[in-house]
Amino acid sequence: MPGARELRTLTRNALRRSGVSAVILVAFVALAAMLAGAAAALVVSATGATEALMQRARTPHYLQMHTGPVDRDRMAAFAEQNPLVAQWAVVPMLTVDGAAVRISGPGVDTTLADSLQDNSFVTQNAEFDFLLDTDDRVIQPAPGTVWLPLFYREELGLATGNVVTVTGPGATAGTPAQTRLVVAGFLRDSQMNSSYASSKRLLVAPDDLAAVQRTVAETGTIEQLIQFRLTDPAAVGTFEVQYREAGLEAGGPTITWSLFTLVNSLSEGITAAIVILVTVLLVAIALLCVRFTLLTTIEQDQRQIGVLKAVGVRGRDLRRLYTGRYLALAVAGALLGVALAPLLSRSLLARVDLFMGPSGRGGWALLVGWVLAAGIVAVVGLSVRRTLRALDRVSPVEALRSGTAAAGRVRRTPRWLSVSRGRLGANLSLGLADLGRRPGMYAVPLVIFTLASFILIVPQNLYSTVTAPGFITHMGAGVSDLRIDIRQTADPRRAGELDAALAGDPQVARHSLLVTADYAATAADGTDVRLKIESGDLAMFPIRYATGQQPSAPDQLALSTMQAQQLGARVGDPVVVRPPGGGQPLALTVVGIYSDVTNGGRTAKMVAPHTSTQVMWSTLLADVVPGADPAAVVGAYAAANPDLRVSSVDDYVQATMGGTAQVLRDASVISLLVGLAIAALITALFLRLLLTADSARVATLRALGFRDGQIRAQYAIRTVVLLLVGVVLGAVLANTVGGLLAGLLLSGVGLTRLDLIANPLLAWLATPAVLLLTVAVTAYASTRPGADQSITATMKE
Amino acid sequence: MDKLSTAERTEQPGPAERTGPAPALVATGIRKAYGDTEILHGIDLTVAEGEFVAVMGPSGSGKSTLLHCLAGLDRVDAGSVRLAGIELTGLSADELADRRRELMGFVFQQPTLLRDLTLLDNIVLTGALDRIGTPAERTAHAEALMARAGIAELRDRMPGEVSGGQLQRAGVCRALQRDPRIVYGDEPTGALNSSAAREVMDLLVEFNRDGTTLVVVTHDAAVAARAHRVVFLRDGAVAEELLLGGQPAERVTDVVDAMRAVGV
Repeated sequence: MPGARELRTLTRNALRRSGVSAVILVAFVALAAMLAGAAAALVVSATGATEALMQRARTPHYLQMHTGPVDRDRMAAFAEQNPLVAQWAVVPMLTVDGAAVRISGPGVDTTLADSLQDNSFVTQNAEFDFLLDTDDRVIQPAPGTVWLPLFYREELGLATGNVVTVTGPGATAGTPAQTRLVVAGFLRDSQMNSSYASSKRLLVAPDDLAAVQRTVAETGTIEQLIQFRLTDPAAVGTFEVQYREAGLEAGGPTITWSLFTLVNSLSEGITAAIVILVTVLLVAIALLCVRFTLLTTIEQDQRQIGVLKAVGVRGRDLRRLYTGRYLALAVAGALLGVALAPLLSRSLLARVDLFMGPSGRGGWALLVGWVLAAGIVAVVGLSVRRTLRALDRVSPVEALRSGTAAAGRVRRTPRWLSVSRGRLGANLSLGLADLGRRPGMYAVPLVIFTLASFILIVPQNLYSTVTAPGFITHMGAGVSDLRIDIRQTADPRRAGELDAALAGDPQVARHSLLVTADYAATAADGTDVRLKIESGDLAMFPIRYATGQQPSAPDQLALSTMQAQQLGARVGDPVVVRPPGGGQPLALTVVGIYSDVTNGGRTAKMVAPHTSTQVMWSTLLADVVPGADPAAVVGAYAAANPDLRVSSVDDYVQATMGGTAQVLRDASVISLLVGLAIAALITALFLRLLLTADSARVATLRALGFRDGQIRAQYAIRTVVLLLVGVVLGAVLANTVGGLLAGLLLSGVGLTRLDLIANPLLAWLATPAVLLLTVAVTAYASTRPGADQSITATMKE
Repeated sequence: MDKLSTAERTEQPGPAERTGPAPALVATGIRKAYGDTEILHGIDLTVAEGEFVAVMGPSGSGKSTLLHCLAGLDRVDAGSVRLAGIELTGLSADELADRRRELMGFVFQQPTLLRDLTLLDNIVLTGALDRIGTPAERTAHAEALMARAGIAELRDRMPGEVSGGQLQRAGVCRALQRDPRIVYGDEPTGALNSSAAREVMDLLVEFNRDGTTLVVVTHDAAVAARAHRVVFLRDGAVAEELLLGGQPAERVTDVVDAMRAVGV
């Protein structure tokens, strides 16, 4: 091949000259491969671990919670004749007020009052729904000991040996005032591990359960878990309808296997989604890097490429050499990333390992990581080949004559930036004019700065959205100062009494009673579906609707997104809802669809009074009068109603979304670091490339008497302007596309159309400032002239 | 070495006669090495105010290096360079940059105008940097220079839109825009055809007659013949100096003879 040696020298020199960009390409591919590997590990392991835990614990396929007595004979008869039932059990659960459970030990003295969880004492089950220790053994608690959920160990910093004291209303004959139990360990609960599960189970020996029950006396409530393992888990929908139609006990929420799976892997799913998003962006950035580096290199090597073409080197040969070297870099990056991935995934999987145990899919996770890394290399290779088409456009004659193919394509500086007009000063004029002169060159860093600020802002906005009080309107509930949840287990008159109390309370400005009852409806596909419909004055504490509007007439119905999907109903569709066990059916029209993450994401709302007698729960919402302290009012109602869940909006959001908020905060910190690293790397890369390409120009300016600082200022001005435009574009994208993306990612939980709420101080001031500082420092460092860089040597070149 | 050739009577008034004895540039004992190779071995050179000195020598003799050292574009390893009474060798890079803008003008072999600025903007560039006068005054001054250089109508053209000779004349205007104490030329006609080269030299000589001090490195006997004095370098040292006088044809012959004698 003619000129083979020159060819190799050319490409080798090109890489050597742009050593910084080679390093950056390797770094980006490594980072992308590492994140892809970690995301793969997270998805594969988290789903694997969830399923493995649920298999080991033999989680029920269908769970009906019920407060009140259960007719076991009737239940047994139902199970006996229903071929879908493989195993069943009715398990009592003693729910105790969180304030009554105190945990103390070295450095620990707390109660469970603040957790907003329902805390229930249980004993180990005999055949399924096992509570496991961290070695996945079925726990058999010794008398006098208690096993607490791992959730509390992590949240409250508890340790084995701590003492749990359950305090009752007072000592009477045969009733001790307190029961003391020693914490023997921490348990994995396949049903209630997650912070999204609103209940937690505390495991004790049968005798201790009896002792606790005697202590708490009437302040404790017995709730029954009616659990079924099915012969065909896929038929759980059919089973649900059969259960309802049999008229069996159903005074509480129903949870199925798929919902347990969802709740267990929700946090990891959100983290994985964010990691995947960042990976995709990193791959995009790596591609932009490749393109930018190659185009600049080709521009610089015009003359040599022209010579090689003139002596007969084929474009194919040139392409092969460039491709080979860039692929080698990409492979090096991918190997590095694959090697580093376990470090990241280990920390991401720490919670999965702790709460769910081994997934048994480590090998698969590794394999998927490798496949993804190989995919990244392939994408880089394709991008190199595509970019190298620019080689075909190098004309040997033009390249030899002018040394540049771009000689005739200089854009004129706009008049308002003209140096002779003197409006902006020479440095500012020169700095800005170049942006307009070479828009193609600056488009790449602009896109990357935009992506970097997007990466920075989206998780931040998600975090501030999820933690904002208004977020509750995405959870199917209106914003109010006070919220009282009354489960159906409580005295049915309580709701009415509290309604009256709130009406007479001078500190309460307005309030609303919302009652949720059970109905059935027929879905579009003919199957029967359960509906939990909330009825009351929906207008007082309105929620946000993704489509349509709030029901305002008695024949109107609103559905949560997941409920609408299950029914196959859209706005405008008629839905007939039937009260279970007979009663007046209601013919309603769907007028609105909203996001809801509570109660499995399946809820409905109407203003018509209930015709169903199966009330499931009631919710009271209230706003205090101006000047009153909402916290004090919440505190007063909480004290007066220790058996009910009384909370402020913040408490409610924290209790429901606390886990997600934690994950999002971590994700925000990681994205901040990733975004800043991207911005710094790109600034360094871009300015090195630009300075190399502009070396003759820089030498001329220096010879004319421009100080280095003034020349650096010109480059800094361009970079900062690009960054500012990028930040604005990134913020706009984050608030538009970001919300859509977040909605897509979270649609699995029942959230759609998420309007991101930005924390203005963070999103518009702190983040841009940090980004600007990073870019400015990097720009300063990377435009510093080398000690050996002389004007005359550059000019000779 | 350092032998002064027979000074002939010059028709042009000599610089000393015009400006008195004060030298514009005094360089003594300049040494410069690149790596282990010493290029300049202790050169002394004094240029009077208003003088036009041409520097000649074979390739590798150190002409351009000497010019770069005199202009502060390169640092000397030893010796002293005083320009307008200011010692350049001890200055920082920024101070040197400031002195280049204030005291010196440059005309390079390749026209080094910025490709994205019009000829006018290129000429006013350093004046705009230091905000000398108002924008209108700077523009008027530049236009006057361009008129003298015969390129007034090209003020809004881009460098890529004019010929090499026109470009180099714009380069001369840029060098003179701030009325420098000295203008350095590094083969200013090296890339031009003979008529364009003559036009550029006519322009430089015209400004020299008005008092601008010129130091020009050249290979071209016709260019050197227009100077007051020619300094010949060989192997990094001054081999010969020639004071020029008489008719243009004689002067060229004198330069060619001296070139032969020195072995250029």
